[in-house]
Amino acid sequence: MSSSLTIVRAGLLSTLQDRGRFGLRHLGIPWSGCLVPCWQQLANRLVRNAPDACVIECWEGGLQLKVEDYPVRIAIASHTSVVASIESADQKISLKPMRSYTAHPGDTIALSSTGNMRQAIMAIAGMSVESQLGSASTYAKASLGGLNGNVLNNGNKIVFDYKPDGPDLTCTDPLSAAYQQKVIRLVMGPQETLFSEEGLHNLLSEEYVLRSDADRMGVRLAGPSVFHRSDDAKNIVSDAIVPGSIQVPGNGQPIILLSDAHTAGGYPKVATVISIDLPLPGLLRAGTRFRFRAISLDDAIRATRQQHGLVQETLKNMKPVISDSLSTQTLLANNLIDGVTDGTS
Amino acid sequence: MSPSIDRGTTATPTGIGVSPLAGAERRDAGDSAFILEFGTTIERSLLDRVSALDAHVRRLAADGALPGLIETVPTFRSLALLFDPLLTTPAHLLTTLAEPARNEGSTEPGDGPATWVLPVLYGGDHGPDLDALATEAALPDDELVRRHLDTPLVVYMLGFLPGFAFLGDTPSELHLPRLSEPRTRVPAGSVAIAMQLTGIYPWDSPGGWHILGNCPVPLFNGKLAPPVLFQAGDIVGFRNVDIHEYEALAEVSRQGKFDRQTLVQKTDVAH
Repeated sequence: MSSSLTIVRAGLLSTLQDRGRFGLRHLGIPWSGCLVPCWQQLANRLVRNAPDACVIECWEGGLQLKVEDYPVRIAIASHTSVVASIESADQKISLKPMRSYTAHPGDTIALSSTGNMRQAIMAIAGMSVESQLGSASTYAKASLGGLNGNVLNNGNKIVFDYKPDGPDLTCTDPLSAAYQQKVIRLVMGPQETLFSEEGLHNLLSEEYVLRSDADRMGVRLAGPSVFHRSDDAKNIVSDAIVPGSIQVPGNGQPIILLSDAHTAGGYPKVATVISIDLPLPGLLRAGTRFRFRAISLDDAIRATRQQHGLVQETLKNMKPVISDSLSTQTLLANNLIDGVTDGTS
Repeated sequence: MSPSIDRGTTATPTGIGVSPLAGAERRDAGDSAFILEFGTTIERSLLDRVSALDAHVRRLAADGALPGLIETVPTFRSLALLFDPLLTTPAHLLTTLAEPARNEGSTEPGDGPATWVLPVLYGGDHGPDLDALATEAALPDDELVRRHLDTPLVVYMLGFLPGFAFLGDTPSELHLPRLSEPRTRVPAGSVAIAMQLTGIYPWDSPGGWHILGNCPVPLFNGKLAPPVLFQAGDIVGFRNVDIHEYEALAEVSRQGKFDRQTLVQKTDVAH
């Protein structure tokens, strides 16, 4: 059954994102897509969607949705410090991340704060969004994807197909160890030869701080300058940018580029963050200090494959939720009982 | 990730039996991409080599010979290859790519670069830098416009903004550095020059190039596939229109009724 959720409040920046829009970088169109792909896959799996289905990516929080005609199953993938709830006329339950919940007509689902991280993801069972040029991912700069090419706004409606199948599910967060990680791994290049020995030494041995200006295009860092070899080396003839490229403009302060960044640019790129560490700069709070560590390409690919294995393992090990507050309503919604009354009617 | 290399091949011939990788230097770009660099400057000869390699890669990908390759990004002087590290590695892809090019004759006729002719209203409010440029170049306004019109340009690459085309080479008397103070807003459709390049802004954007005029027809349409008019290697010329034709074309575009095929110049006249 087709039903909808109304976005009561969209929050600071909430966008619809799926895996991304591939094959158009040669036209200057970046991939977009979820910045934390494993969260997207897990959140989708928790609500029994296809792993690459579209989800809501929420920055900072402030997101509020009203459930209309049919129950809806949702799941939030986030840090444990997230603040979220489902509020109905008679009760308000706090939501834990990495498990699904069922909300009912009239309920308000709130993702109030993304907690200690800058982003959280909400998956909605059966959510259907029209894709454009191969993806539903929002890239508002070119009016692509999302709802009419735009980020979510107050009053928007999200359409989903109601499917009351099976109990709610829960899983672990494969990133839980990564939040403590104070090292971001990178592979040197493509333009590392345009930097001075001192500049490279700084990059690889000094601490850098994440600045507050972060978005889906990139994150700025502050720290000891990554000096160019010469003034001439501060600009190059435009060369490809990929997600993870660390570009260094003339001021020597690195910028880590993410999924919505330009596809090419004229600042030299000293190194590239490896794909499994790339969610961190967009997640960790401004002011977080960390170091970079250069690893070989082989080691980077090995680490990526290992992490993929861990995520696959987590996807396979979803556990049904043993409900802590069994209500008739949830039992009915989960189709566990049929036609049983609560004895008072 | 889904491999999505299926855009039409641009037929830039490479020498039979010569590796299209010859002269390219590999540069790592993380665990999911690498770059094959032919040089560090803007030159037609580099563009030709990049286009030839890109065509070679896309042919192999279309034949299913490059599993794990996601897409390629040609730039002025290099080709980036983005891949899924769960499925392949740069070494693996390069082994396949290094084999000498074959089947060069199999390219279908009509697959070559397209030639586009864009209507442009030069000068006035639509080309606020034309007067200053003419003074700088010691040419009358209309002579500067004539020289810009008379030089068909090649699309070196797209980037900076979705659909932004870097075209070159602009006649040498019009080469200028970028504005020292970039504008905070360059209107969509602006045709502008800097260095040896001409650019067309598909979107309102900040920009530091000298604006000569404005093209009233949409250069980007997300409802069409492909959404962008040009691809690297295409030829672009300009046609001088007056304010009346400009307004008429702008109105048709606003109504969403502009047919971009009318911009393609038929190339079947040559014998």
